[in-house]
Amino acid sequence: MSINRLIFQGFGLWRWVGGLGGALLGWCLLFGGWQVWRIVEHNVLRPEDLLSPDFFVLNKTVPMLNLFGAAGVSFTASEIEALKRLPFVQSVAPFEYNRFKAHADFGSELALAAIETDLFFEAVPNEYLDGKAEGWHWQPGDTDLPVIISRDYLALYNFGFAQSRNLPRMSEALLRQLRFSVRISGKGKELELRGRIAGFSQRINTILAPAAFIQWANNEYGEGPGTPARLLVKADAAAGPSLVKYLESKNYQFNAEQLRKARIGAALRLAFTAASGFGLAVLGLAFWVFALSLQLIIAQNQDSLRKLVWLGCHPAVLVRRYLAMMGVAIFVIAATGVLFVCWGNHWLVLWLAGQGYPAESVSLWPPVIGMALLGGLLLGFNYLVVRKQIYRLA
Amino acid sequence: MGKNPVRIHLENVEPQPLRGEVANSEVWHRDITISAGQCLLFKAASGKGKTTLLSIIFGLRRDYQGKVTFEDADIRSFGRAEWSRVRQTQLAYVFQDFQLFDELTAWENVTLKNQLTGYRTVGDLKSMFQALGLENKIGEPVARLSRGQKQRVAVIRALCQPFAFLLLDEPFSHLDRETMGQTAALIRSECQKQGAGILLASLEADTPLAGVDIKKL
Repeated sequence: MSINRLIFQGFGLWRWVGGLGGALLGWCLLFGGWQVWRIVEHNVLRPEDLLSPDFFVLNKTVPMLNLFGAAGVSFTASEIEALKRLPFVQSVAPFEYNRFKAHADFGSELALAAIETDLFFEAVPNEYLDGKAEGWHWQPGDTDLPVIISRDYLALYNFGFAQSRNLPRMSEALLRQLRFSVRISGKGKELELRGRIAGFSQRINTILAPAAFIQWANNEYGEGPGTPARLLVKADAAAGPSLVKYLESKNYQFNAEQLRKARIGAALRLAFTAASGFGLAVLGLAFWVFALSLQLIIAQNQDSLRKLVWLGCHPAVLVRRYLAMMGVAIFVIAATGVLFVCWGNHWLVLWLAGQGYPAESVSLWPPVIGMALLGGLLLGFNYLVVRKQIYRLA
Repeated sequence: MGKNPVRIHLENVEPQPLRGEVANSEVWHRDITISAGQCLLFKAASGKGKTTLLSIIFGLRRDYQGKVTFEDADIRSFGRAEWSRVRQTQLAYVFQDFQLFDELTAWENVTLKNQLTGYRTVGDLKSMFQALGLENKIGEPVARLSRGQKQRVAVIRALCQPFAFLLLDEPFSHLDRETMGQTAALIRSECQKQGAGILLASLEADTPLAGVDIKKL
């Protein structure tokens, strides 16, 4: 014990406790932040979603004075090509739309509310459709016309219109049974078809008809195919932030849940990176205080250290004694850090479950291994510094 | 001791601070071999390198020319581990300025060294304190001891190890005749027990240690 009394004279307990507290704070911020990010990414952002192809609808911003008509908001072939060439874009499909008059009449079928309205249709290639659409095909001569409507329309009716008018709500199953008359006309001709709702789309906010129908009807009743004003883009959402950046630079509008998620993910990543960076800075400062106070103690006790070496004490023994103190500090910090991360992990998963997210725990090994590595690195660094200082004395 | 006594060999040694000032020396620029069991007194006036010589042999100074060998090995080649071994088992040193830990008691100073070597029993230590008239100073912080008392504590501490040579730098300078005799007797008796040599640095040729060869620096 005498040796420790000699070589730890002037040991500033409060300086040490302050350093320990700071290091603990930085440590928990760094590794806690990392683990929280891993849990959030796994359970909320779902990396498998982020990595799966992502569909979103793209259109140009309508200018305040749209003097150019459709041309101002349409995509040119070169613009579409430029989009297709982006590394994170897998494919681009223009929306086709009706260039003939369309009219729907629900009167004969829907006794609850007689609705008659002009209609529009759009079409996209089948591989871009989400959800099931029964009998999704059309060929010239067919009198049945399947359509897919946006699930948002049903929600608007059920929770907006029907609620305010005390009308009964309608289920998707009921609407699938509904038949209505669709009248298309143009070039002095008219055709009546029997419409039915074949499915609902979460992804595409429009009334979709089979592409074959729109192409045929545009030729027969309309003015042929038009220039596309909306595009359906299939992109690698892992590149969400860079994609968003590109789209914003082009002043394109897009409405995509996945892209928002990617943006939220990017913002969250930034927040966690900032928290972890702050943790790293605090940790760095705290360990700097540690290393400095250790060097200060050695400098204060250099006379005793020199005498001990002259008595035959191996300098490595003295290095080990100082390092043991640092080792204990790092162990206390790392052990507390492990407990904190375990507890935080447990708490966060329970909280997410309470919020209705899938609450799967993620492995604790990466932060634990990270702590072991960082602890070892800090100990190794301090060993080199202390060793150099003591060996220089003796 | 082994079959061959441990030897210190000085070969044409000259400390850099004394360059050009070492004419007529019986040590500097000479070949000297000192075997364990031999007792040498290095006599010189102040500033002629008495402490320097002991410091070179003990590995505290490297600013010299020539060659010093210990156990037939050049001491310049010794690493920290080797010096640690030598200082715990071969060379004991009573420093001129004692190099005691002022904040520790006389007893703690001695037991600290004994912890490193494990050479003495508590009984041995107590009887050495008694032999040098320090039994009442055991628990006293060294800072409160007189120079003479410190000198004796330094001697006891140096004897807490096995050694082939005991290096003594002015070990009696602050002692009265009686304590000088007690200290010399203890040193002589321990050196005889261990078959060790004595390297004594002193201003005067007059010493209470009998049978020493005098070398003029």
